[in-house]
Amino acid sequence: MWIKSARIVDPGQQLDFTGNIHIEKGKIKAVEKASSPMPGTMHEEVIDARGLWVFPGIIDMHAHLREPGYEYKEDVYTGSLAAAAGGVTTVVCMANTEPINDNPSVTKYILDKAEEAGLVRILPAGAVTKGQEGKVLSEMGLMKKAGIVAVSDDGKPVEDTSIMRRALEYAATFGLLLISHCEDRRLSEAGVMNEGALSSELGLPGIPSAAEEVMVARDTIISSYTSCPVHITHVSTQGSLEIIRNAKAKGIKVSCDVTPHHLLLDETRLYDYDTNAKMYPPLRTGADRKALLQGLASGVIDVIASDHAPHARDEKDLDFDVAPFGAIGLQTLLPAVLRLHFDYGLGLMQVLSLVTVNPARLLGIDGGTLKPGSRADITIVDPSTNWTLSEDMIMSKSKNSPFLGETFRGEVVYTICNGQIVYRKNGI
Amino acid sequence: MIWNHKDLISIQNLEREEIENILEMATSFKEISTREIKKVPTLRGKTVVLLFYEPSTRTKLSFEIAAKRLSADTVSLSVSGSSFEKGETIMDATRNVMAMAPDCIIIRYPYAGTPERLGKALPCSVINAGDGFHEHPTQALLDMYSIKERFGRLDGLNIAIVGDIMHSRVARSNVYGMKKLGAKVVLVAPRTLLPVGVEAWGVEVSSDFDPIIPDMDIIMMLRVQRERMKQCFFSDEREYTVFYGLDMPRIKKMKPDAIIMHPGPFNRGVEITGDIAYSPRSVIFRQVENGVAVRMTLLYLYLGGAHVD
Amino acid sequence: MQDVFMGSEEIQGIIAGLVDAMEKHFSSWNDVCFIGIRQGGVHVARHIVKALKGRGINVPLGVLDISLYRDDISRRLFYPEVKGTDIPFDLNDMRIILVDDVLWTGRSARAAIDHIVDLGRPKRIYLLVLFDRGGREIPIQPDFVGRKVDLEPTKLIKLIVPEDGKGIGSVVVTELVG
Repeated sequence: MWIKSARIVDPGQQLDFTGNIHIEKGKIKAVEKASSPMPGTMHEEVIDARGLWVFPGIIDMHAHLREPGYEYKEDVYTGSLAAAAGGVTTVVCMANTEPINDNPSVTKYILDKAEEAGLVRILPAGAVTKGQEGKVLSEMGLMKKAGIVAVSDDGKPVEDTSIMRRALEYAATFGLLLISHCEDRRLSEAGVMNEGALSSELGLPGIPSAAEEVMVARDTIISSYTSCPVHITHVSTQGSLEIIRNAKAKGIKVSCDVTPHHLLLDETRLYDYDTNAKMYPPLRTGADRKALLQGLASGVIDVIASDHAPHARDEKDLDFDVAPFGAIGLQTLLPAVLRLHFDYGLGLMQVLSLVTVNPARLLGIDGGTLKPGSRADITIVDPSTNWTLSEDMIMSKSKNSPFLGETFRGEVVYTICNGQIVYRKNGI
Repeated sequence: MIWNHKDLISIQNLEREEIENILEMATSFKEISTREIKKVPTLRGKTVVLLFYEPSTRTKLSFEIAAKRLSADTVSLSVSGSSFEKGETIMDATRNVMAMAPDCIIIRYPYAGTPERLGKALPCSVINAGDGFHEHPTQALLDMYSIKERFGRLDGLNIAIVGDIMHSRVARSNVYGMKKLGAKVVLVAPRTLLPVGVEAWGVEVSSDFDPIIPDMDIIMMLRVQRERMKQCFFSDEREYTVFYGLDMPRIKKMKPDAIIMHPGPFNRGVEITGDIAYSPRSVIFRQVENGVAVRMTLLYLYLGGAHVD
Repeated sequence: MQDVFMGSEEIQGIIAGLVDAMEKHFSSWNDVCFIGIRQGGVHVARHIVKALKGRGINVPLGVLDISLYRDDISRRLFYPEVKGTDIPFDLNDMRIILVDDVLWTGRSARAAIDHIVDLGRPKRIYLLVLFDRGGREIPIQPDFVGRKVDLEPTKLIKLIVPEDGKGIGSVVVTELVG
């Protein structure tokens, strides 16, 4: 297959030029400037990509696909459809399923489902502790053999600091990244939104920024003490970022990701009590959001990940206090990244690195680059199109997006995974 | 005057002039309750549904009497426990109610924001009779009415609201309303019971009750719920009463014409002693009486005509 | 567009005529009272009570707010402010002279009568109006009429009360809006 005359942007190789890509047997065979002659045989498929932008396939290192156990919210197949439609070719799915992915048989079940779906690459994250109960370490080694790429306590953070220490050491033993959801649950208590003047005004119980920050501090201290890497997921406050910045400066092996919604929205989105904007961590203040945007520019933030968290309409129709936390995001991850480029003046190469090469390196997986010889995971977007997110475009089973009704610039037209076209925009 | 609100969710949505109109008109409605025939035909054929998802005696009774004195038909639903806790959505619950074709739903709800969402989803008027820690606009209006009845104005008055501000929808609605009408409000509570970010409300805040007492025209005491002790908001009742309770020695430091208010129900011996609740300074029972007049006014305004959007 | 239809002197003349007619009609005044319908009716009633006082007759005066008794409440787009009813005497067994400035459809008088019977059981209710412009929509007849006027249905006639409340004011005719 050939992709012809596209703007090719690959942060992994620092490439940004107009050229052609040759794909063969699921691998990138060549990437070359357009001036070079175009070989190839007539029977190969050619994508005329004039005016289009071509990126390495997007990697989303934080998503909930809900299977097994919560198939009414999402399953591996519908999650794959959403990923493909959003230009995401690799999805790391979290372990808080039912049963919890804390042993190789659950891992294998998810991978079987992914193969059945046959669309994008699904890489499970295993639980840190058995049943995510925070007491006994999970079978990290066996799960790694079965195919997990990270371990995470997302959804049910490890409370006991001594277990967190052992978990970091044990994960490092198997070369697994520990993705930590930082929340002191005693402090966040019954909170449902960011604690501050607005939560007091709206009469909603607050989640203090401190509930996140004390755990970010704890995890970086333990990481430093054990010399084991830790990845802080969905960082949402200025204070957390400050701690991470200082830790990095001291050479502590800490990395972090932020979500598109924390970068593009703040707590004022909650004036109408829209449960689609209820998530953990909660949308924070304008100042926090600004700090996160600065963190992108300064490079403290390593990755942007969606924290795709589908919930059924009936659940989101509940009272704000009662409705579950979470928002879907697989289909809006890349559009949000492009918005950061178009509207916030961040370099395309820079923002793309946060969803391609950086997560690939952190997870130690292939992909995330267009280097010849690597997986042919490719995302092609039309940068000239403006489109508005509506429920009928959402491929997920659940429609709980805080971006419904918002207009984005840049639309995915092709998603290629392992050399196969897994998504093609209607009419192309 | 044009009344162009469909729902009454928050005092914040009312203009000063609108609040003043309500308080003005309430006096006319109060007269109806003094008649031998305490009923006018104004809202004949209108259906008012009272949906109370939290126990309430006064507010519910007050709304019900108000609706009946205006000749509206009332249907009252108290939902406690069972069907509610199973996770039935409020939309499911109101589907049955909508079959009665109500013109107005008056809702008391344990969680903030649900009346607002309901108002947006339903064609009828929705009146918030208290939602979580958010607002209780009709209570604030009747409190302001009671103050105006006593002082003739709110402008320039010094008002202290004392107690569990954090968990009080009454405090929030009163702060917004009283400020709009030109009163100066001081919130008094231990640090644990002051909402985070309270500075943004544009009021004075103090954790020291005694020094402010001599300057106040009105002292409004809030109910302190005993379960807050278990949640570590304060130590015990004995200590709370010493620092934040209203007792005779404190009453003696008040201005001669200053009054005491309490939205009720009160905890005798905790935030207020029983003898004080019945003292001449207390307008606590006038508050109940005025509640009917204020709620009649509101029902007239929200139900009395086509809405202008 | 509003024309001054009638000046204060002429109105005073009409009121004097009404007072004459009533004096002729009522041989005894001790069970008679006036009730004015807000706003115009109250003003007219006040002047009548004053004129009677000048002739040595003291009659009590009450004020009726009929906003809550109207039959078009759900159809109005704006709300008459409710100013309240104020009748500081017992209506039972009284002869009431209900006063309004203009009688047209009869709906206000109907509302006023409904309101009065909620307040007590008078012996009799009379209706006095400054102007009767015809056009009744319900069977209501006045007992005392200041003047009959003939107006096109698109016109509105009303009493303009001076801001200080003193003097009888003037009567204007305007185009009906809507």
